[in-house]
Amino acid sequence: MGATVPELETLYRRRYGAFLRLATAVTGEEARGADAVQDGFVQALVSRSDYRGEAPLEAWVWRIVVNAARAAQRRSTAAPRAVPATVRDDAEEDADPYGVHAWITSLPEQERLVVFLRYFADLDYRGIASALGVEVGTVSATLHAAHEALRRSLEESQR
Amino acid sequence: MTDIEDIVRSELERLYPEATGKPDWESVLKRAQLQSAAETARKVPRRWRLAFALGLPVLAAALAVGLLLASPWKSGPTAISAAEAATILKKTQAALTYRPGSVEHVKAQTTYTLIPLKKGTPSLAERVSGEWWIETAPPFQHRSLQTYRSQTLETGGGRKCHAHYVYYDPAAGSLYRDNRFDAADCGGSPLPFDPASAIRELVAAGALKLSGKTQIDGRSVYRFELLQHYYDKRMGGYMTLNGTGTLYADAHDYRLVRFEWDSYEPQSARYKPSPYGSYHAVVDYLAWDYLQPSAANLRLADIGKQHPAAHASTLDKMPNDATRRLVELMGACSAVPPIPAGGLCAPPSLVLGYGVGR
Repeated sequence: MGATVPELETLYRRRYGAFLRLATAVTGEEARGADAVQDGFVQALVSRSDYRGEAPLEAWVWRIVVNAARAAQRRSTAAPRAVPATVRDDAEEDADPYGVHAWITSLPEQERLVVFLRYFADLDYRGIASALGVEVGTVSATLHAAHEALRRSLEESQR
Repeated sequence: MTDIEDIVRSELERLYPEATGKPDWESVLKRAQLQSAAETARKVPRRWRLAFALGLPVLAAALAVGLLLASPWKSGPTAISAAEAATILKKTQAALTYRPGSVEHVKAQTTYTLIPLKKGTPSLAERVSGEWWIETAPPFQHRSLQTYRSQTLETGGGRKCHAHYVYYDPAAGSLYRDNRFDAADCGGSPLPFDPASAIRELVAAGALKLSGKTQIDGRSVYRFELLQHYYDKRMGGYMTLNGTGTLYADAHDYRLVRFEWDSYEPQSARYKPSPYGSYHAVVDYLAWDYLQPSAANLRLADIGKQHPAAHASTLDKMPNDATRRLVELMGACSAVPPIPAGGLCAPPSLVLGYGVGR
């Protein structure tokens, strides 16, 4: 089947902001995030004939970009960050009223990616599962557990 | 959507604000073309490699044409007469020629795309930004700040001609001089790294050809193609351009806007071990000024005056610290061997697009 260059270009132009936002969140730095998006799309173009159409094209590209961002994060000389330094610096307790920052930071990488793909990429469960190479049930369970943990945290903080 | 999802969404938007970067599809396309070409080359049987190598200029031309066809330049290069082209070249040269005695100030950012030697390894993008102050009269002091992966290396030099032989190590509070270059051949020019002289040489050698007019980030620019491969004897062949090169100058004030080139020679293989071979480099010039030779501006070009209390030593005595690692990555490449795996070799000449002499 394969993907075409115009299809990839359309996706790139339409969704660049979302790709960049997620890659920046993963790498902790916008410049490296931007490089990761470029790396991911280069890889997608070079291997576009490998796309089999088993999942939506966007989910296939998300998988490549997420992997590129993870690789960029690993290459970074800086220590891995859950959130950008600019966020971390002012994310004091009073700046994190719902504890979302602390919650995101505490998540294992895979679960954090599930959250990012849900909220930054607006992918449905199937799309997320395809992008991360996991079962749909895993995505559902991860998001449910993550939401429940946050809900409990909120309830405790309101007592 | 549940309340909890609303909270997560709005908080994530606050914690991770919209990124401001701009898309650059043309760069993606070109890198993909280069990577495909490199992978194709690897598949060529050994007996065909020589023929393939001989055909590289044709491949490079084909890539350039392909890029042109795939580019957003709707109308293609504007037709320019030979007389106009000669005038534009002269004006570009003039804009890039320093006023003797002035302090040349250049700010640039270079993005390297390193092409892997093995299939399956993704290409690697690396970015180096830098700022240079170059005194254009004796004693030719010069100083640079280069930033790579959020770490900055300060270098300087002067006296005779050669750039890049003093490094400042803030942790040690010392200036380390690489004295191997003291007797270096200046190549007939006191400023062998001056971009103007390099470009003048290219023009004089008939190696730059105006190929049209286009746009970069909404800026109208002239495009010049490099017609030959280059070998810089002043650096002992250290700088070699084997491939295509394109230079862009502003269509209004003729200042250099961008220089990009492809290297088909596995440069980094000279500094093994590295998983990468050829590369594509894009230098974006963010500032290019000729400052008055006031005391303050001359001080900017003088690394010694920037650090008057620094202890002076020689490069072989540099401690094994973060600055030394930066020198290994960005400095004189072979200055402090060995170059680490995947090390990026980016002296100021490379970052500025110098070293394109004969």
